[in-house]
Amino acid sequence: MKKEVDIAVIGGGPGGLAGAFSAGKRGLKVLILERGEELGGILNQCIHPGFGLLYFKEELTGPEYAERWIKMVEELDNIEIWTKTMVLEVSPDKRILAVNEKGLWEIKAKAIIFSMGCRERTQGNLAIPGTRPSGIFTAGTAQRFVNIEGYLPGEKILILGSGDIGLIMARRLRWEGAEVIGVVEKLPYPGGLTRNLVQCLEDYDIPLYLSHTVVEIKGKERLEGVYIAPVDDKGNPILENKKYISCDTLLLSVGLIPENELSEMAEIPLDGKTGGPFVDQFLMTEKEGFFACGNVLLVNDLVDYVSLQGLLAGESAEKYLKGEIKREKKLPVKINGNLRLVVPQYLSYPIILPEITFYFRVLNPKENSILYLKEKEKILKTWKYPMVKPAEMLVIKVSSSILENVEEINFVLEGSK
Amino acid sequence: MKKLTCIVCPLSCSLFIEEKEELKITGNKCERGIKYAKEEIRNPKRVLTTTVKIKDGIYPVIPVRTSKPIPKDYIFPLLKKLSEVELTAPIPSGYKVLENIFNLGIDVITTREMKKLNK
Amino acid sequence: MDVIIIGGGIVGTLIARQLSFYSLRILLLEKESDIAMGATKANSGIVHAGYDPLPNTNKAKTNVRGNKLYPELCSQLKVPFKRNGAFVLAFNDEEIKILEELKERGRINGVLGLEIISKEELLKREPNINPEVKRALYVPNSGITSPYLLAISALENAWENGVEVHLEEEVQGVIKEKGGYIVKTNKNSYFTKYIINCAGINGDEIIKMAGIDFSFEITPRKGEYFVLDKKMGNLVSSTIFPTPTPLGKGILVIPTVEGNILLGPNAQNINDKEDKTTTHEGLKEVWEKATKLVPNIPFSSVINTFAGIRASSNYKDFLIEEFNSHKGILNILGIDSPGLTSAPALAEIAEEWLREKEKLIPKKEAKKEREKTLYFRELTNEEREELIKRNPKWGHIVCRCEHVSEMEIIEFIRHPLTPKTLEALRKRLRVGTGRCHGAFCTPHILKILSKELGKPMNSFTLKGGNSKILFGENKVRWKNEKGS
Repeated sequence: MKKEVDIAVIGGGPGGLAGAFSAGKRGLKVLILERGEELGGILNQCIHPGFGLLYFKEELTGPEYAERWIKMVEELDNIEIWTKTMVLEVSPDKRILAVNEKGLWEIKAKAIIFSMGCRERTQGNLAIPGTRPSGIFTAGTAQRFVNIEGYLPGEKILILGSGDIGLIMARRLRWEGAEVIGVVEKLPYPGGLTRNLVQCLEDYDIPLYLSHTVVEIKGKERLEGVYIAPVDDKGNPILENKKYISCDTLLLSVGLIPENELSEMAEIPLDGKTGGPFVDQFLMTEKEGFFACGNVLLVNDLVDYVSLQGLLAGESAEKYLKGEIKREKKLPVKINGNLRLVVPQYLSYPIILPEITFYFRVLNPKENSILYLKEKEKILKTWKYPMVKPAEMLVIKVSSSILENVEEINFVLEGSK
Repeated sequence: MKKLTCIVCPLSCSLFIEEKEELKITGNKCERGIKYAKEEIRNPKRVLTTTVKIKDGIYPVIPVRTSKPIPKDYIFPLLKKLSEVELTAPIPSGYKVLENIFNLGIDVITTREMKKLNK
Repeated sequence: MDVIIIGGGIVGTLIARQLSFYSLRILLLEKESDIAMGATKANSGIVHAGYDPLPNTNKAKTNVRGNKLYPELCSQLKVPFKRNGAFVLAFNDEEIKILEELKERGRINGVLGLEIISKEELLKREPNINPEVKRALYVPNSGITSPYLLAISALENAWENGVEVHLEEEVQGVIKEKGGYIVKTNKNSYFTKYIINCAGINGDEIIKMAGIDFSFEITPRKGEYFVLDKKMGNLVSSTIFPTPTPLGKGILVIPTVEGNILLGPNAQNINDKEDKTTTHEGLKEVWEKATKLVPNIPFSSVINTFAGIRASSNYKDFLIEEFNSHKGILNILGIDSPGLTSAPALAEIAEEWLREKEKLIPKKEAKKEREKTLYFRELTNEEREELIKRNPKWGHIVCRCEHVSEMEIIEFIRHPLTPKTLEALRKRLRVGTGRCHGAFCTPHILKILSKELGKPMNSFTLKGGNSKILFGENKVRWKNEKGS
């Protein structure tokens, strides 16, 4: 079967919802393609609070945050929603092959918004030696089992990785009646927000083993325990000092990978640092008419940022259809010092937008940091941070007037230990 | 002497609290730390988010939360209470599952809509 | 029974099929929760050409014969098979000398098409190979298949032809009787005229159990592997071998029929037959040696690791033997490399053995050809449309990495020979074997299992026994707690 739309949005999580809403509000004919049974994506299983403080100025749970956006989208008649629909292929000429229970669809779109989100790194990616029993889950899978299906993945649980999902799951599992015996983190500092360390671990006396990792899996059928060992400053485990921890479940919260298999099919170049497509200030990828927002673009720490990126992607898609995006000149956004990644990775000229939001992640935790925006040796603007951490994104807005006539855009983050 | 980690901003100050007639707080880099520590020591509160069982719904459990933060000590007694609850779909979002729990003037409400499962 | 086959690996399942064409009462016993759980599950999947085994050994004969049988066998059973060819790399003059020896040995064994090629020629065909290579032996007849799909399809075929299959049934005793044997298991005992012992790593125990006076011992050798993401599928198209040493074929880079790349295996003698653990040292060795053949493999492309156990023995060659003291028991043991390749030839040998004892009457209704299993990912768009019209569940994709539809899962769950475990579905359908490792699809698969079989989600296991996936419902602990 065939279908033609202005904008196809791939993924109906927070990024896709905002992208669709933003494009739909502008009168475009939008189609959301969502593989799950309902809109909202992973928010539906994030039943804890902490969402929406930036965008709605109130603290919501994941399902509540999703519900608001779903309502906004459903109120617009020009947005069509297809759930239980899997996109199989995306071609560089903006043709989408999708499948659902009605049949196989060839969808032709004038612009495509990628909002596929991310997946979790797994046991397989880590290649932990030992046996292969049941009882090893990614934190997100465990979250789905507990929060949506109502089952505990285990009774005596160890968590590898101190990212926010892992910390939040520690508390959720404790509340549902499991014993959480610890969180193991390879790095010398925790991966999640301080708030979660305090309210999810300290509240329940759950120990956090920093600079440690799981080095061996034990148990033939169900997991029986693991060996953990300290790591040296290069991150290599010191196996002589390994110790046994008895547990029936190991949760992995060891990082997220933007899910860009479809972007790659459409021959869109990806940034090795973000794992997402290279984009300009419009969130348009190097292939014109393809936009990306949310965790498929870069792994965000707040859902509010995902929504904001979605809104921008929808707005930009309209600009693209109207022929307003010119790309007469392209300037890379350079990063130096304690910065690990930046989005957007380059600016297209003319800039058109009144201001540009830049998202950064830092390499190392540092106090008293200053972020400089430089053109060669000239400092254009500075921002001060009492503390920067890899777990927390830096998000700044820069007025376009500053960047209109520069020859170089160079962000440098300097700070003391 | 008690120790707390301030969660107000990313600085994560280590706060040290001496309990005499009055609370004496050190280690904070700003006033917000004092306010946080006082609340955390005198009456720490948390929002509880969990699930309750639901019959005939598209999923077997529905997420719920307390309408406001509740004193920490009430969390496990409330979980015990909620373990006895079973709703029947359809249920709207914001539905009061339990009202005025422990006479705190706080309710437990659903955080999503649960549609009836078409069999 | 006429024949009891002990062991549901590649050898046992192919023998079951071979004998299922005749009017015989056959029972296959497998002690695990599924067939293809030992070496058949965890090996390289290579159909070797046959230049490696010493001439005139059982290995050499069955290898070359097996290789010839593969295309037709796989086409009958609708199992993937590809002659992707192989290269044995030589990095110095000494190794080049060994390549010459291999070529000569291959000629004696009857392997066709072997050729020593230059570095330039090799790099033209396989540009990602380490440029320090000097020469390579080109082996056009080398192939790849899916060992467990082959075993599963062979046994399903045998079952369709009337063979009985009992899973989770372990042989505990073999007693000589007039005209045959009593086979005692953990569940039952059977009288049978013939026994075929192809019990893999436990085959030596069956020999002892039967009271056969023959000094035979399985000396298990473990091999560890990495699995790479399909994105790396273009790394090499042929199987890449180092020059073999007296210790074995070495650590290889192997394309799979699924489109992934395997690195491995190393070879470690172990005492515990159940020891399928991967180790730091082992994985390190595999990585180092594999990346010597094909450098520049990013570690982030690893999606899995595993270990398998070869049923090597002190006999060195394959043991294919009926002992005078125990007529009626055919032992096919010590089947390490090239066991997968040799298995179809071993099945022929089992058939011939039986033919000398019994008049084998072909069964009229027995089928050799199977209908193709429909996998969504392999269908054309027109075929997909057609199936979705017939049943909309064909259009509901449950496994996003491998594109497996709900209907495929349901059809396999409904097959009587499919154990109702996650791993059994993984093997048959590849659900949960892709890059997300089942993180997304596992809850959905458990839901489908639960709906199909009318059992709660937490009643299912990964691979039988105590390998349960979920525990109790939320808050059961609080509910059961005394007091308010």
